Amino acid sequence: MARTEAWTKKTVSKDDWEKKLAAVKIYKEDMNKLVMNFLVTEGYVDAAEVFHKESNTKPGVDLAAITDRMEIRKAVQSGDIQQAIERVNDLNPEILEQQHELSFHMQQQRLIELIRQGRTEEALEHAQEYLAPPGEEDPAFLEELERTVTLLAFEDASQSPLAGLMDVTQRQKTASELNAAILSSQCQEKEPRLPTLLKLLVWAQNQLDTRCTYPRINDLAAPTLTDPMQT
Amino acid sequence: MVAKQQEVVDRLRSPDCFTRLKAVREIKNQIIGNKNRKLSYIKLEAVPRVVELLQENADAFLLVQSAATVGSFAYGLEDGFRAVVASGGVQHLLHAVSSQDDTVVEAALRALKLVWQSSGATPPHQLDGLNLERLISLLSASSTRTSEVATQVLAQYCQCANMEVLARLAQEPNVASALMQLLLSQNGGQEAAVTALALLTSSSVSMAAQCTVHPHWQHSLLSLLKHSKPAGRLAACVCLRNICLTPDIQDKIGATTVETLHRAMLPVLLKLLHMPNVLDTAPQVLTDLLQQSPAMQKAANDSDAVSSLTTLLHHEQTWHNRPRFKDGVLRALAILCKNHGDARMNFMERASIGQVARALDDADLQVRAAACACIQSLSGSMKCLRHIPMAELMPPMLRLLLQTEPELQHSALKALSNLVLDTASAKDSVAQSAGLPAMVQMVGTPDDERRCSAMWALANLIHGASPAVCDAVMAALPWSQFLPLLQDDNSCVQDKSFMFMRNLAAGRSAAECVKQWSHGSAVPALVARMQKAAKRTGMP
Repeated sequence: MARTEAWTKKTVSKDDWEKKLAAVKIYKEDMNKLVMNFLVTEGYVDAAEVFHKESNTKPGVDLAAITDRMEIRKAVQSGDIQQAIERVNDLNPEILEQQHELSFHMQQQRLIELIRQGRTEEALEHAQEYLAPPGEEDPAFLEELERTVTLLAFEDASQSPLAGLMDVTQRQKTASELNAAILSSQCQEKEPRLPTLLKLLVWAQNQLDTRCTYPRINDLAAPTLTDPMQT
Repeated sequence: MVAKQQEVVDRLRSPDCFTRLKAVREIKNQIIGNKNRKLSYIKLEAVPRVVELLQENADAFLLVQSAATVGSFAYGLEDGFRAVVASGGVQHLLHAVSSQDDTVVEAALRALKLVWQSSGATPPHQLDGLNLERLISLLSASSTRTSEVATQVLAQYCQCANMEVLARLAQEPNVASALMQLLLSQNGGQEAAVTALALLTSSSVSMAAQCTVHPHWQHSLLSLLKHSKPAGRLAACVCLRNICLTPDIQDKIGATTVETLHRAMLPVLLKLLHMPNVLDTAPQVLTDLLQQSPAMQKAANDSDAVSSLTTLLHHEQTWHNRPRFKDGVLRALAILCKNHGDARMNFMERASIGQVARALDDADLQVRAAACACIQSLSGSMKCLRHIPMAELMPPMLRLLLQTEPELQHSALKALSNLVLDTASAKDSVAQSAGLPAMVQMVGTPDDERRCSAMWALANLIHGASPAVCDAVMAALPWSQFLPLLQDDNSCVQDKSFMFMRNLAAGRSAAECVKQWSHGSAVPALVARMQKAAKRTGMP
């Protein structure tokens, strides 16, 4: 005889769910550390200082270093690559010395900014001095160099097939790469922990959805529990 | 371009401090990450001029920029490194480390780190006296950045230093305590501290013992087994291994705790073996762990370590040009298979014997010896012996037996001893080759262990052998050479000699051959020997 039982998902009521949640102990110190971690990693120096005073949670990092990092990031985002290079070399000369790919991308961004400003001769000189030598050693760098120099072939590079290089998102990409390298050199995580916890929550809910009906959190920003009894 | 650069170099000697500062900063920002620019400035003799700036009682800004520039010149470029050393750059950096200004100290330390990363196998200058004292004191600096960089410099120095230098460094007071304290930090100093400790405890037993004085040493090192970087986790394993090898450790912390530490290390080491770029020390640490403890061998087998290790053998890219890595993997397999039948069968099922056979011809001597140890372990059971492809193994084994390196010869002998026990083809291979005279020659060696192994191998060779093999053995080992072995000072040699005679004499026709071989002296010699033994034990 074939088995034809219909499988139904278990349903957990909101009351039961809330009782289970209430039984889980979360310490205030841990929450404070998460908040501080977010503020510090994202570079909110003033907020971190105030939070430190109010909650007595240690930042765990030198707040002056965060200011430096934010200034460097702003310099890249505003297209002042030379300033960014000088500041990061003052902060820690090992970063650009030892990370060839990052160093190349910084010089590449500098080239893009020179092209954007119409300083063609300087751009060519810069490409020859700073980008051609690593391009000779690494085919991947050579390909990137060739793409970037091709911008010079267009009257309006922002309308060319390589317009993406001229877009602010390219600056953002370089800024993020540099920011991550600075965080790594300071033995900090590249991302705050809070997004990871939220991702875990979403993943866990997706897994649970296949097994039972329960009070979901549908809006992470306003985390109220839905009632599974109400459709 | 060259003219522009020359102009910048000329400004390094300007009477105006601010001009000199601007010039050195320009050079620094041009050369960082740029070999071509470094070379250009080296040709313009910028290096000695920048080093001169370090000698001045200059303001902190100038010293910081000069130190960073010197470090950058030395990094990644042999010409730059030589120019810095020739100009006395290292001495001036060491002097700058004693500055009262934290920013100058940090810059000088970073520069030293870059210099020593470029120096290859040995540091250009050995740290001693005040310099060493100063560096050690900076491990506990109030500025976390300074302490972190100082620890990284020390770790870099340790990585360049030879064992003698490490052993001397390990004697310095406060090094162990400062480094142990840094294990609790959450910054880059933590990884550098455990790296330095791994190197120092490997060179000095007393250093390893000193680590156990720190109140939280177990907690610190066990936490580091979960470090985000594989190098950090491996360094923690090395430290724990070294501590567990110190004398009286079991009395100090108890056998149960030692086992707990071993059990914590085992899964970490097994995972590390498969990490790309993991250091060659990983399999060696695993081997040491397994050697120390049958319980760990069982735990490793339960964790399917044999499968994990044989997977590595099958992937040439993991051990290509890494003889120490391969040596460690083979030795770990040898230990796991030695006393564990399941491990042996698992190994054979994974068809890995071919890799071990090829390792018998490896260019590296230690790898060849490790492969022999592996064969010896695998052939330790009759069940496994029958599955071993003799045609593939015998030729390289016999080649190893004929090599001049005594340790390697001995490893080969022990493995062959098992191989020839039960296989006619293996016996024939030995009897018909130069392997037999080599074995007979080893019977005459003054080394007791080797003499015993040689006699054992001959006894196994002759066991159940064909008349042709017996004849060959008797021809190679005349009675006159054999007789003294029955009365050898070493009881193992005697024991194996009797075993040889017993195996040789098995069967009526064989007994007749023995009588001929010994010119009728075999039985009287045996009787005399038995009487002597009886007298000693007081038996009739």
